[in-house]
Amino acid sequence: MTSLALRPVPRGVLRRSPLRKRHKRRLAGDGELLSVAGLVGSPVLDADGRRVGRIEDLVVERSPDATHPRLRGAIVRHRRSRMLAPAEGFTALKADSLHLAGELRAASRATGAIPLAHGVLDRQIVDAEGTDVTRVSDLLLGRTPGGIRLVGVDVSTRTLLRRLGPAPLRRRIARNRIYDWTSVAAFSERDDSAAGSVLRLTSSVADLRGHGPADVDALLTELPPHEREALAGEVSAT
Amino acid sequence: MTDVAAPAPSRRRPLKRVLALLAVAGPGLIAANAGNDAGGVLTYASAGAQFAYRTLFLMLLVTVALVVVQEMCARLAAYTGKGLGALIREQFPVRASFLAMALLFVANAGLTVSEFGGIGASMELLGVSRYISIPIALVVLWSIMAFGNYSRSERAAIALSLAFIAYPIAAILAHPNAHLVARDLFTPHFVHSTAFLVLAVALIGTTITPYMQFYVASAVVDKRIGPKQYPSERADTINGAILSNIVSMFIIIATAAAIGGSGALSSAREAAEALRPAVGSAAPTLFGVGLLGASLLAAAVVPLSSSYAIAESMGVERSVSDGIRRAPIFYGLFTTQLVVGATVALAPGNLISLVVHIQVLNGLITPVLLVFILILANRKSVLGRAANGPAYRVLAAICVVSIAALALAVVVLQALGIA
Repeated sequence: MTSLALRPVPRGVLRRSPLRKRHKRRLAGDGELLSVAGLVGSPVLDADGRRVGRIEDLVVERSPDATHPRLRGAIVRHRRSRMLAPAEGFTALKADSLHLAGELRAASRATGAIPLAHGVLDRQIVDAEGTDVTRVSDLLLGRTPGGIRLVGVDVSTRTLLRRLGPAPLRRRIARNRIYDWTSVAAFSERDDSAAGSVLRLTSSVADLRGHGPADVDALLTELPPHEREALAGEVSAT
Repeated sequence: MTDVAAPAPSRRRPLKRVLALLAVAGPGLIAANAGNDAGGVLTYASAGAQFAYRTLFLMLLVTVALVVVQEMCARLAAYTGKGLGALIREQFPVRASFLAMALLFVANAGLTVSEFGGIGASMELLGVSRYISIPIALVVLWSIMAFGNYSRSERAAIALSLAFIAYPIAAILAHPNAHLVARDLFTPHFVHSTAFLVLAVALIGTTITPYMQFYVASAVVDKRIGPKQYPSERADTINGAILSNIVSMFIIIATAAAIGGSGALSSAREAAEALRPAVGSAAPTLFGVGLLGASLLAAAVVPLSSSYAIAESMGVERSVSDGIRRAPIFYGLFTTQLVVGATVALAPGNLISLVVHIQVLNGLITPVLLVFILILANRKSVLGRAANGPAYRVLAAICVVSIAALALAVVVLQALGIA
């Protein structure tokens, strides 16, 4: 199992429901969230509206200080080759298509970049103590003043089932069971796309003990019922 | 051991060795031996009864394929620390992994039916109606999983299935025609009949069973066997596969020597006849005990392996020690398969032919899942330097393609209404 770099635990982690509202407030006029699972496979169009390929993956920057990693670009399947479309060249990233003004570059395995579809989507999420919680059903991108960023992790089974369906269903955003990305210390030290990598929540039962009852309650209300029960049981047992 | 005690146990030593071997048996050995379950025993016995020694050469090829497949699964688990359910979810598109899990679920639910069929058939040999024994077995198995001690129960079931050690003895005492056995074992041949083809697919389906692949991978993960410990795990897996198929071949030989060429089996009592040279009139009882142990063990292991794989692919907690409240999906899947298995096995009709048909279904599903395993084991991005080399790729691909071709042939024949 990969060892993961754990960041300090932010207070009030695992924030789910306020996510949409907060980003809407921050982004006047354009508060929509984009589904990474829905974007993969979507067409990429050039300035003249001609199709140049399809999105194979989306790449974010690995930056330890930023809470929400910034989108670096899209990996585009252009004829038979894999190309990089840098985020600066995007004219519009919509739920079902990517519009480019700039040129495609040859894709290289850049260090410090994380491929979302291949490295994070469908990966195991464990809590800080290593208990398996669930898997990543979808990843959500949001527009912030500093560019498009990875803001949320969708863990719902409904989203997973939706991904089995046709493209319009795949692009829908779940309304619940979304973790804020800041509650995940995601990036392993070695290759993120390696078969052994997992995502780790920054909180654990042990951390909760140090927080006192109020924080425990706050966190528990954010968790789905069966996990809530399991956690409450473990906390009270100590 | 002290000097004083030494002379007395020396006669018991072979048995002690076997027990010691079982006590330290690695996942590979257990997984492969669990392959000699109700479906397995009855299919091998059918092969012996119907075609005498003619299926032996096929079994030799199947052994090679089994070794190749089991080794790939153990290697994938040891080098990634993940089971096949997790690897398939992470490495394939979500639709493909859903297909794989659905097929595994169907195959294992079918197999659970045949294990309950085995429980019913064995208890009928011991004089208990299956309408009594199967419901009791269902309740007992579920209770052990939910509240009991799984590993102790597992050992008890393995001990019962040791009754099948009688097969090699019976095979020798029945004085099979050594010349015929050697010829059919080592000279390539194929019987040109659809019945043989269907039985060949059933033999493959019962020997290279999807649950064994998923089981060996999750057991390796559970025992935290990593790349460093892998060489000994590899030996264990290969030995287990070979040993298990040697026992399978003895079942075929024993049955062929006793009742070979008499046509398809219609009851477990006929299958038990093969043990008569070894134990005389106790044959039905001994066969019943062995079949009961093997069926009970597999009736737990088979639904466990698919529940484990599916829970793993969903990323939720899964363990027999977790309790129902912590692992509801895992227990839900397990209970569903158990209930479906017991209910279908209670339906009136010929249990033996039902069991053999389920092995055919397994034979059809197996190649699809093998393709997933083969792709995973070929990928350098998954296994790094431990990925299949060029020669191994070719060998593994030949195994998978031939298994798929046989399965496809049966599908086509069934569709044309010939088989």
